[in-house]
Amino acid sequence: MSSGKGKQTIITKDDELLLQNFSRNVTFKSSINFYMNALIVSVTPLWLFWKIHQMDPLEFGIIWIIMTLLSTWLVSFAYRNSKYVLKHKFAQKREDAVAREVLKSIPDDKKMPKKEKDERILWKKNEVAEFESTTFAIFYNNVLYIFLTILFSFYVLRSLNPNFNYMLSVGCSAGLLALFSTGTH
Amino acid sequence: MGGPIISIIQLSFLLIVLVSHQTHGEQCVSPKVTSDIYTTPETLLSTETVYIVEFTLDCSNKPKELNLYAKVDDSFIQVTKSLDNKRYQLSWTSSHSQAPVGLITVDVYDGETYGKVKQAVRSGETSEYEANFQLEFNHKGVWKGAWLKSELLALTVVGLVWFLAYRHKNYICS
Repeated sequence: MSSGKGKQTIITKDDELLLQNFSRNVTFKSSINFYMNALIVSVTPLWLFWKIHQMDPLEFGIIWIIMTLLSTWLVSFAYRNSKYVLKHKFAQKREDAVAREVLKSIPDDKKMPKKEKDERILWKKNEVAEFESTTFAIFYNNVLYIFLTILFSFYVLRSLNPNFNYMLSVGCSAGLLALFSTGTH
Repeated sequence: MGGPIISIIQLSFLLIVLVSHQTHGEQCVSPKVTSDIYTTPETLLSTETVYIVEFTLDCSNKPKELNLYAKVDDSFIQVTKSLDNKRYQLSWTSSHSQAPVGLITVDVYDGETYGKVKQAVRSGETSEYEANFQLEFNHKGVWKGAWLKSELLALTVVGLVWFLAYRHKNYICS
């Protein structure tokens, strides 16, 4: 592990990996994944406002682009926060099942030190938790975003003109999503 | 002496008859009607039910200036006519809840008959004058929209999916 000689603390590669796994930061690939999903879900209400609220794309194009970019950023922020909270929970829930699976995959005749087995289990647990938390965070936030957008645009803000309806419903939905994601549960 | 007086009386009588004709128009003998009808089909884009009847009238006596009056809801409406006096249009509105539905018959009177009816009303007579012809059409009623709106259905489905996701999230986080 880390060797603390004097005042300097040297962080080994294992420590780095452990820190990265439990860090709030996401990898570049994961970040791209989040932004792409956030962009797709932010673009979805545009069809609604174009076809049902009769907004002209040429007239409102600039507003649409600005709000879509803002919504994309807020939704991906929500994804990151949700994923961070969920990853630890998924890791705890799946720990036993992952350990069983990893131990089952090791042949009986192969002698493996306990440390290596634990590392394999930890790595697999991290991989499963990473995948499940990412997928569930995207799914949960997308559903909540669509629910809030429909609620705001067709019920709460229905009497406003389409331009303000769009700006407020998309802005409030993405904003609330980001706000809820900052909770610890 | 009697000659000029008689001719003055005759002339006066003729003038009275001509003026009364001018006020209410000519009459239509043996009318034949062909009509186009429009009635409001739904309530979503309209606040009231509108009835519009456009018709052409073929009278055997070929009147040049024919004024028509229609009886709608116990009151008379003057029927508008085109500049060439060939086509007529009758229109009126009614609230959605009170608008008649089904077979609707509208009595139409020419100027002369209308004049008699007005005179009878003024003098308090109870005698009824038959309409010159009738316009008949069918109004199916207005569509008030689907009983289950699409946005409510979408909200319910998405809400249900979110609720299931929320429950699963609570299970994971417990």
